[in-house]
Amino acid sequence: MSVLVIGIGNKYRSDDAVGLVIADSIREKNIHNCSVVKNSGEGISLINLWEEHESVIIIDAVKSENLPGKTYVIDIAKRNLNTDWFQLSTHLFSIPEAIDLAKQLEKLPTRFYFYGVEAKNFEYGEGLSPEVQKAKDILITQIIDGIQFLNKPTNRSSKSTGN
Amino acid sequence: MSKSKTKTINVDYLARVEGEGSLYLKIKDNKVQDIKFKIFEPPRFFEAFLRDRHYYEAPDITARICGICPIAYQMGAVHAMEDILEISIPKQIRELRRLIYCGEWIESHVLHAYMLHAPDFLGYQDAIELAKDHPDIVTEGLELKKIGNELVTLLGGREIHPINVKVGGFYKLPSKEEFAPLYERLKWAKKAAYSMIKVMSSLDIPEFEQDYEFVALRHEDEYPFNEGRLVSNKGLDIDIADFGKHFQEEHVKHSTSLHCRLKERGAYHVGPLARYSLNFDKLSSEVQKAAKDAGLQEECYNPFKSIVIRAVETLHAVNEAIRIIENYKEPKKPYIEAAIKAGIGHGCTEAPRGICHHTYSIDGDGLITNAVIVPPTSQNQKSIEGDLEALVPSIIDLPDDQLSWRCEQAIRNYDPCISCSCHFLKLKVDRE
Repeated sequence: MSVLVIGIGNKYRSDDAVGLVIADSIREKNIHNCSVVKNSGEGISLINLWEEHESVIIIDAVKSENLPGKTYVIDIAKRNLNTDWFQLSTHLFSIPEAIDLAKQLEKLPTRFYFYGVEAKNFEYGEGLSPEVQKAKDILITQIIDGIQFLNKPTNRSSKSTGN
Repeated sequence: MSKSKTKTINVDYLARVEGEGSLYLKIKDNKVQDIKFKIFEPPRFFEAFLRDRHYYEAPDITARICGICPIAYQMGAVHAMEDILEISIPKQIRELRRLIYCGEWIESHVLHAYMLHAPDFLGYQDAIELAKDHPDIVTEGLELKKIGNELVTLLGGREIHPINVKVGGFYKLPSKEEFAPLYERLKWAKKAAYSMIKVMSSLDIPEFEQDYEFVALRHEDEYPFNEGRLVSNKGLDIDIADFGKHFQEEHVKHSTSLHCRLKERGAYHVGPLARYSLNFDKLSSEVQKAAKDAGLQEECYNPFKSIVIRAVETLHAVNEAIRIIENYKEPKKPYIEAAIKAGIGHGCTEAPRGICHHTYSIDGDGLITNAVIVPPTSQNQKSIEGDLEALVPSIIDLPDDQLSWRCEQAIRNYDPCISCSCHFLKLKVDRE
């Protein structure tokens, strides 16, 4: 089964678009055994997307006290996502709630990674801030490595995680 | 002489509603002094965005008003434009519009009933807590909602903010073959809809009735989605073009959403209760029987039973989707074209939460010169406050946390879409 990459965001809310921009870049690379979709981040539809996949990567902008452009890679099977990161979500079920609900319903992918970028600006408008633009390029390389790792089922236990 | 006691209960952010609102409740000597359903989500100025845009952009712009009920907005916009341009759409296009609306009703009703409202009746904080004890119920809800999403995606191009609806029809139509997989899933959805009615009608529903003026669309031949006259149980029976003569939007200090009222009689109620009570005879005998088996009468004045009516309407929408797909013949053309002309037009459709009324003016170049959109939640705000005024005295002795919970549950009866009405909920209770 292919690796599913889900880019999340709103293209009209500045840095919130970073997940979508990264998804477009990954799609253009036509990586073998990898499908890419974009999503607004509505939790129920995310569960519907990931429930039939064993290996999933989700990408989104986050907002905490850290410096804009900081990147995060989190193994969702081992660590909870910080709910404060998604306080600006306009959805009834944002990513952490969707993950909690999917856990209860045993609908979480076996191998499930979150790639995040600390955003600077969620204001109305298009275009990424310079800090997020720079981080985006770093994260694309990391995600491509991640997809290749997930395409090698024998190596699953050696994946390093953390910030 | 006893000392007077004032108590304030404030729910700063109402959970499990779409958008940002709050509730303020002031109680003095165990009597309700003040209730305000406050909406503080910033105004979104969609009506202003529409001005000077081409008439054909209206369905795509209005679809952005709501992520849950975009079809309601698109349909209101296309019907109003077709009213101006004197476009009469062929039967098959009309059927496909009903089909995409079935998808929206299924996804919206199921999301609300299973994920947002059922936890209130079962004593859970949210759907995640509910899923711990009842994973089968939540799983069934998720699967049923997915089928609604798939209908919208197939006809609308994508599930959120669809892009395939246009004035005169659709940009592109699916083939009969493309409906086949969905048709098989709809057969499962029918069983799930019956299960939904069983689950929702078995909930412990409070006894509470109000003397509402129900307002809904009524169509000669069918349970309403897109067309009909506006009628009420208190004598209203008007063409949708006369909405402005009978209804008045007004600004109130505590809400960034306009309140809409009947000029003659004030508050009125739109949504599943109104639609069902004014159109029970238009449901199929099968759905009527399912409603009666669930304990519903032909009219319903208990807003807490809206969750059961949503389940009944879900069955109706599933049946209707099956019927439309069974009879589908691909039209020769996906849309009807017409010459541009200046004029004023109206559209009114039954969004899952109630009627959504649109009025547009366009000039000779097809540019929109004025747009007025009246969403269902702005129409229900006075009824919501009326329900709370009537409900709170009967539960005033409850501890504040339980009082807050019951008030929030009463607000959620309306499945308020605050983002739409502004074009969320805090509760504050003041006790003196």
